[in-house]
Amino acid sequence: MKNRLKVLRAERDWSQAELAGRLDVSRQAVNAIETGKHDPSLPLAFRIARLFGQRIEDIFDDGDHHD
Amino acid sequence: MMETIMTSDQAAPLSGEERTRRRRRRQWMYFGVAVILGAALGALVSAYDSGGGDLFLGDYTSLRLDPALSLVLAAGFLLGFVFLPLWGFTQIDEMQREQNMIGFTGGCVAVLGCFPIWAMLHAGGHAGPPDAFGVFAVGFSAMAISFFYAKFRP
Repeated sequence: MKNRLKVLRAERDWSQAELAGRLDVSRQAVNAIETGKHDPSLPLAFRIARLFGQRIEDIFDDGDHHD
Repeated sequence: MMETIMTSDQAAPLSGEERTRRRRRRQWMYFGVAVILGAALGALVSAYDSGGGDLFLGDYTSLRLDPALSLVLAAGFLLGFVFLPLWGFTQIDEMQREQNMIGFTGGCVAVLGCFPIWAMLHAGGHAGPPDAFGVFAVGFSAMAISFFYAKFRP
């Protein structure tokens, strides 16, 4: 699943370790999400969305648009 | 009343990087405890075995231990192989939990399949009789392979 996590993190000048600590996950998990190797659970996706003050669908894109 | 109590965390909120460092330290402590526990159990078995067996080479039938010590060691292995991994599951994040579950699934499937397959091979004269340590070794190996597959898959 594509996402804007790396961009949002870069905008705040946060390292992966900083973001990982704020989300209470490992740095490896942040890296895996950013590179699309791991799709976060719904609770983690909500934590990410709240941390960046955005909606989940504004951060994550499953490529399935029905507009 | 409770809200007025200041903890050290409240006084100085931790940065994300510091939380990550603490998580990493906890993980290394877990590994350290597991290694020390394993080494201690192995050393005790080796030191007090009067039968000339070897737990880690599969010759467990020759092991002879003091009954009380055997109970202590059994409790130690219960701690090391059951409670410590289960507690570890509560200390890791969802991605690591997924990797560990894939590993445990591989180990479990291997144990379930190993005995009947081995028994059939033995019945046809292709292998010796199924052995408890052999089944354990196959299960443990499958667990490790499955875990590393989950961790390093592209």
